[in-house]
Amino acid sequence: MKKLIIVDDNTSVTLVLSRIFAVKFPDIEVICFNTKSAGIAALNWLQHNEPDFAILDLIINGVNGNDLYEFIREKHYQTKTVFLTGCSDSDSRIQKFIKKYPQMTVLRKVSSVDNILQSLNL
Amino acid sequence: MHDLSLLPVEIIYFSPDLKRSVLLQGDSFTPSPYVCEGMKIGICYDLEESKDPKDFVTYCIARKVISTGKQVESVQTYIDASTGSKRLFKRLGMPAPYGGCFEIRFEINTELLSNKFNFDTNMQDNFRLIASGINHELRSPLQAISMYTDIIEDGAGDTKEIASFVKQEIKSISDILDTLGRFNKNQKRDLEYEFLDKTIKQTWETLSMTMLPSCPSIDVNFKVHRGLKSIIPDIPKSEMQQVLTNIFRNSIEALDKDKSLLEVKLLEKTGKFFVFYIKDNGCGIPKNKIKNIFTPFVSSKSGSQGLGLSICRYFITQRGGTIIVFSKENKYTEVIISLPLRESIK
Repeated sequence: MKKLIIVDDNTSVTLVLSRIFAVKFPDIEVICFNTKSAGIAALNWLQHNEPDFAILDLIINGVNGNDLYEFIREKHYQTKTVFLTGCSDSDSRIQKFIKKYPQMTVLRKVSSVDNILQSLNL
Repeated sequence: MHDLSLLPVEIIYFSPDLKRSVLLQGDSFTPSPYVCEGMKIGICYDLEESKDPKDFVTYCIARKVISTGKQVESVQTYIDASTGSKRLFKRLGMPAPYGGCFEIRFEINTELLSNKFNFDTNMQDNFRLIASGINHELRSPLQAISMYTDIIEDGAGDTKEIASFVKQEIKSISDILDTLGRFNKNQKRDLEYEFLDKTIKQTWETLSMTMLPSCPSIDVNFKVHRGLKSIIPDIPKSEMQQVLTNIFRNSIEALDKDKSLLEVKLLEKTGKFFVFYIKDNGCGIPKNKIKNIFTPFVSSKSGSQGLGLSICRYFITQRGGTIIVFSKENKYTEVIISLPLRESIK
């Protein structure tokens, strides 16, 4: 069974996304990390698991989407990753990330489900 | 010229009689330090790193001027780095934290203090921070609502159930806006002023009635020292209450021992200002989190919007005061607030 991790410190976003996946892609197991320390919890999980897909909030407290993506790269995981962010495009942290990883898709909240799925090639 | 930003810095603010000092470390002086006329400042630096202390002293002041918007009229060094510091610290009964100390004396140019340009700059900075936080916080519930509507369009869910989820998200947006509304509270009305000790006691009573019953394991020894009795701060009572509520709430959340202590004490009172602290012996704030405590929407606590201390700083700085926080993990948190006194009772 394929695995998807969703990391966002906003519980609602992770819940609704997992609900959508449960209906549209019942063959994908969804693992959500949605507490204030979502990043650390996700990092621990990633130590021993390679997900097929990842939806990561780029800016969260502590270990953030960028850190998680760098860990995924370090582990040479073949994870299809898309980033969500509530920050504006002019935010220096977003600009820095886009400059570093121009090939990556960073979707700004509010994005449609279709956009998110397309970015994951689903 | 050295790269001064790399130097280890400690700044000590002295009261005019040198009886009380406050130590600020590294970048923690970014929130504007309290300064008032006649107050002395000691800057400690590592003599090994800097060979030209004069440049260094000038730099520190310049940085403060820029970051706080407060202007300094004159700066004069008058204690020698090597010998003066030892005498000074001996007099204070304190060990010198670094090899040397410069003491500088300054007077605030009050005309420049109220300079409109500086005021506008601070307001713009505040606005930028708040706007960025609102932008970030509102987008998550909106994202959830947007995706719920996608589900409805696809006919993939129970619409009644989804409607209740959407209502929750709308409530979450509404809660954020309610909290933001406090920034604008009482600007033109409700300008009642009150003795500080009374406001403290009233605020504590209200808060302890609502918060402490849900934490029966905490037995808080709440102490208000006498020195606060004759103080009327130049800030409306309702704003002072809001500030105290936020700080007390943080303290209660940090306390987890049987013998918890929360005390409020006057540090000093000069002609126009007074300084007091609120100190608890709770779990403290981790070193890596303290630099963001005043940043709106940043919180490590679940369910917190991260606006409490930003609101405190907003109210205090709007009245010409300052707020700084010191903390040692698992030991204490100390919030030091300076505020102007009411003209009528000086």
